[in-house]
Amino acid sequence: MNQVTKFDGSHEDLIHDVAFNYYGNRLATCSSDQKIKVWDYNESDGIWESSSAFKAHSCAVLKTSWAHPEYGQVLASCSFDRSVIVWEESYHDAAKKWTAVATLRDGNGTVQDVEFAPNHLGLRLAIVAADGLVKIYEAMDVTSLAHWTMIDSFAVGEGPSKDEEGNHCLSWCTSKFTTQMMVVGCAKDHVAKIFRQDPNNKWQACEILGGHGGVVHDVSWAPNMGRSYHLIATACKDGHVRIFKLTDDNQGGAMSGGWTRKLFIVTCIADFADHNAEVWRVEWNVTGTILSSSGDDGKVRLWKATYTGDWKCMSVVSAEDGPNAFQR
Amino acid sequence: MDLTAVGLTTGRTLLIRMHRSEPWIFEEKGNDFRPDTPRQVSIAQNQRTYPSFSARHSRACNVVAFSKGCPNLLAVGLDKVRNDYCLMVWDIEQAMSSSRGTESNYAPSGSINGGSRSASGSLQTSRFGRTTEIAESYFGKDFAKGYEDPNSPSSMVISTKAVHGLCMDPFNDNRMASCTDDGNISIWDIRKPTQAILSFDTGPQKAPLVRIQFNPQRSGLIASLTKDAPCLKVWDIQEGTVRAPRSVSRMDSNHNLDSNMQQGSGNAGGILSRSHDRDGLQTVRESESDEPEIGIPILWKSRRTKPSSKSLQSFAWIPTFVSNSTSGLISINKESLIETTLLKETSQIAWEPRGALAVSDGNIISCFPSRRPSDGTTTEPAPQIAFSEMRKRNSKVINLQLPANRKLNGEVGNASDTGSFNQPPSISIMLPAGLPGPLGTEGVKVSGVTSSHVDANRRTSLTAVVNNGWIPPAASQIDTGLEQDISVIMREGAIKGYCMDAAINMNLVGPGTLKDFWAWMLRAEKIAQKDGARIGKFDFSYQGVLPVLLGNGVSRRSTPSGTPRSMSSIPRISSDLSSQLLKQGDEIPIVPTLKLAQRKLGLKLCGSELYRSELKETVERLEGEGSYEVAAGWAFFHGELDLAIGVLSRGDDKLKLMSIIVAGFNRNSTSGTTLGGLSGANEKPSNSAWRAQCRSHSQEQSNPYIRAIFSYISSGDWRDVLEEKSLTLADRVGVALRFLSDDELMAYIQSTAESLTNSGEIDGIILTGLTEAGVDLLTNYVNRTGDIQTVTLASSVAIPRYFKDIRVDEWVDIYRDLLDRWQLFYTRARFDIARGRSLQQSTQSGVSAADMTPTQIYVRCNFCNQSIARNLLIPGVRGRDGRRLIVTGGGGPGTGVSGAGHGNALHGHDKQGSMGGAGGGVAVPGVAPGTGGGASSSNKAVVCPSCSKPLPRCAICLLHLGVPTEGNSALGAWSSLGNKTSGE
Repeated sequence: MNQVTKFDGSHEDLIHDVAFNYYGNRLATCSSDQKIKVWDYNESDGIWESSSAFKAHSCAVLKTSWAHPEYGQVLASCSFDRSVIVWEESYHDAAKKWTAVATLRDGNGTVQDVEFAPNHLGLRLAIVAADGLVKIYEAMDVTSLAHWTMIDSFAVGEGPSKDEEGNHCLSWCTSKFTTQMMVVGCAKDHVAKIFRQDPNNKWQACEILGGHGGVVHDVSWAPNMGRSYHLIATACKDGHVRIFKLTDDNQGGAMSGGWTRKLFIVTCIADFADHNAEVWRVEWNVTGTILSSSGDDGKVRLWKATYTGDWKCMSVVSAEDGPNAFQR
Repeated sequence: MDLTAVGLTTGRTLLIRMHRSEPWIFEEKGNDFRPDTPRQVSIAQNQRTYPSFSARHSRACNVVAFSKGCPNLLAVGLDKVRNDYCLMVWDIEQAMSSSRGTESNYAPSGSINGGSRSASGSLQTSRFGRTTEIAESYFGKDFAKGYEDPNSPSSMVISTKAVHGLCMDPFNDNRMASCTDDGNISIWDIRKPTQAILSFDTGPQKAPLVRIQFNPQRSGLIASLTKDAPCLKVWDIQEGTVRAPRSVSRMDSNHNLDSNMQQGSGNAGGILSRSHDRDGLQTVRESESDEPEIGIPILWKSRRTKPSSKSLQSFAWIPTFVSNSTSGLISINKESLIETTLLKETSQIAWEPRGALAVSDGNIISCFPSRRPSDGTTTEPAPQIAFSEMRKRNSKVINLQLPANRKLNGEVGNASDTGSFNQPPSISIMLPAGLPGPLGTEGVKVSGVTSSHVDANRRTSLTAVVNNGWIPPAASQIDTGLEQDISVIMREGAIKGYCMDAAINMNLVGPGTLKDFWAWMLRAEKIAQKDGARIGKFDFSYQGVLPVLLGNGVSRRSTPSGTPRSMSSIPRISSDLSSQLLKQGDEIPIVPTLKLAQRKLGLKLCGSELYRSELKETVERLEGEGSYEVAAGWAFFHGELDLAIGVLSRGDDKLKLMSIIVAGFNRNSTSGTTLGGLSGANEKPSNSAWRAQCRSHSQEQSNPYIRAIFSYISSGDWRDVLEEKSLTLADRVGVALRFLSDDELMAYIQSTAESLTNSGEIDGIILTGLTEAGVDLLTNYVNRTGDIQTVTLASSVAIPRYFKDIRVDEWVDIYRDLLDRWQLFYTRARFDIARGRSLQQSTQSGVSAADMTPTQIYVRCNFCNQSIARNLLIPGVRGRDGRRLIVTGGGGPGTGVSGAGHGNALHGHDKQGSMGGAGGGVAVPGVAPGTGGGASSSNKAVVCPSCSKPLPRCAICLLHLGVPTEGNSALGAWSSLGNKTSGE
């Protein structure tokens, strides 16, 4: 285990997403070759073994997300073919097989992000499509998973967005101790917004994470881990990685007692242009103490807070290319 | 193939072989064309020697192209002239074999002549589907045409403005791209020529495009170059749906949330229950129509390369394999500088809960481990070198200056090189050069579990110095830093047994504030066990020095330091009592005070000794371990100078020397007793030379204890010792408690507590204790370090037991989730048990556990299934679907009670107990037997409150359950249960 574990995803095309399950012992990859592959970690050998591979969509599979293990082995995937498919693993004669138990196809655009809600909210799924609509589905019967009801749907901005600018993304707040919230990257508005339910259970855009010089490519809400504040990271087309800190606004919300749009004071505590290229992914580790970001420069950078709370680049992970054609 | 075709304005087409300066030699030398050895080929001189094809009429040749599928075919586009074809396809093999002049003139289909303009722009040949050759050309403005050659006469005509830069998709036989002269790129499917399947603008200013080209390596990548632009743009096109866009818009208008909902629920059974309603119908209708299923590509991403110094002339994709996540572009700018750019794909990243990081690189997925620093590949190259190398490699510029007289206006051809197959890319991790690094440079070698590593570089001075042994900071290790993340450390800690037991934890953590913290926890636990934390009628268990001194009750919030402290609640101790205590010979004297009991408790919490005999033992033990400095410092802090001198004199030479100095100081002091000498600090000889010497000497000392001793004897002021930050907080507070006057002490303790709380230093818990202020401190500690494990374990010892704090409940919950995520279920269970025990102790000490744990069983009506307790909404309990659960506990109690009938109260009690335990290890809800009598009068639960049906009857006495009978403990327990639940 003290070597970098490396294995060939053996996809025929570019891998679009890599997702660990709740425990981190299974890994799902999805690719432009329309397939999803599931890998199991072999503890004794310390290697990842291919568990199954299946054609999931009729187009490139963009994102995939694992449900909490208490619902079984359940994956959701979204694709350019405008559908979200929920997959469940079943055992037939000791052979594992992933079956599409439900297909959600109400969208009229590429489904750009899919994420299961944190476990305490039940078996829920939030998706966002290119048309700028976030939809939240819930499995009515967690034993069959065939029926998903759309319980909420809201637009992230005004009007549908145009092709090139149309990159949406979302991330749930995983904290159990707040109302359910999510942060959504709102394509052409060049902002990310926090959405929350108002007293009528309608999702409303609340705090706005501004200051972006381009489309927000990815958002990630850090696990709270008992901190008194929240952290949200954004990856932006302008090449910046930003970290926003959400602290409780004690004057506004608590005093009036009612519902308020401003529950948090949002401050941008870090803004890095180190990638010097478009940044496409940001991802927090399990405790929200290390942020990883990945950009068009082919590098993955890791960020960490110092003792004084300043965020610094911790290391740069790179896929090093071998000797190439130009050196001869 | 090293032939070059050159079209001349005369209409002749020359073939030039490039690998030799003498043209037209058929030997295969295998010399590659290399851009760094440019040659000038004078066409004018050698024109006669090249094989050539001539058109019948002399006119300009606009474009030449070889066929890719059939390389011996050469297509030539000429200016239009009457009575002749303007597109000709030559077979060069034929031409070569039969010497020059033999022309095989494939006649293009007749529609060429119908073309309105001459063949201009570019011409490309490609291979479609089977083995048919198609040549395409542009005609004037408005047409793009495809020809199938040679035999099929059918042609395809597309009427469009996008007639420039036509190119074929190498990954899709039916797809091609072209662009207009105002910057618009269109993607075509030849099966559906009426309309472009995708069309997009390359920029806001409608600048014409010079060239577009598909990436030969990866599907769906198109590079484009706008005229006079210094950079290239790359467009990533992904396959979209098979449906036509029009049907989608129709579906949109029909799209309705309500209908969806209805259809969704009405659609029973079936595997794909959501592929239904209008959407599904639409698909069916479409597939019924005869339209071929044509994928609609979607423009997904776009990016631009780094700008060159001048505007670019042309570019080409590098067809060789670089790596599966990298594609290369070669471009040439106006100064004939050839540059290559590598385009890397964005890696996908995912974090494993255990702290490993998975990074995808094209097809390869790499998992960076978090357990051990990797010895092999990652550490080897010095980080600076690796980093600069990487940066160079990222965008490499080959400074390849071409001779000035050879202006390149044409296109850069693809160096066709298939021989090299590169090594698979390797992964390396490096630290950025020049970054002083929060972690890398000064990392402390950690033997056990420590959570203070985050503060490593600030703390080294502190951590290295405390207590026994001076551990020098280990040589810095360069690793990913992943191993040092708090998530990994917490997990390892959990595996090693980090738990609620302070004694175990002390051994697990490395020296540092965390160790001090657990040491305090251990002392506080012992004091609490012996009931030693009582002063008067106040219980100060797990309270810090500050609340002890303030005399706050168990759960009173400490006053902020700014406000005048309230003395009212402090139990006063008469001064004669304190003088009485002073007389007890063994006791180490404390400065005269009104708060002797509080100070003593505080000293105990700081680990300070109260009795001379105990101090002597400790000092001798430390001496035995060889740590004379610590022993001397320890004795000194207790005011026992003689003892300290004795220790020093037994040390090495340097210490011996010190002992003399200290002894001299001791003699100089006016008072005979040691304490008097120390406390009467102001009467010190104001010998400035002595003072300066001592001060400078103290600064030279590396050992904080020696330094503290010197700084005291230089000034005779204990506050100087308190300034010595490298001493542990416990030592400093001990000194303050022993020697500072009441007012000074309070000011010192309060300001220190405040600053430590604000900065979240966990050893500040000595001052605050596990109080609400302590939770504030722990919150700040978590905010700073993310070490939820320590705060959860520590606060669980006291929090539900002495007071409640919502933050601690959250921590416990999060920590339990975290353990589950790490699959450390046993650890979680043990933690639950430990918490349960802690709760149990508190119930024994009279605090009701019912206030701390939510009700866990409910009794429901047999008829309506509602809980017997009135209007019961269970807070915090939700089902999977997020709805409130009305009933939990599965009706067990109901059947249990009715079946047992007159069974004694213990039956129900046991049941509750076991269920409570099963529900998460929480202790028995405290339903005290005998409370039933009081509850019976007001709450007679004879009928179900929601459906008014009578409750089931007892099987023995046939009375309805809930009917109060005298002395019936079972019903007493029953109704008290009802009370309790309704009270929730």
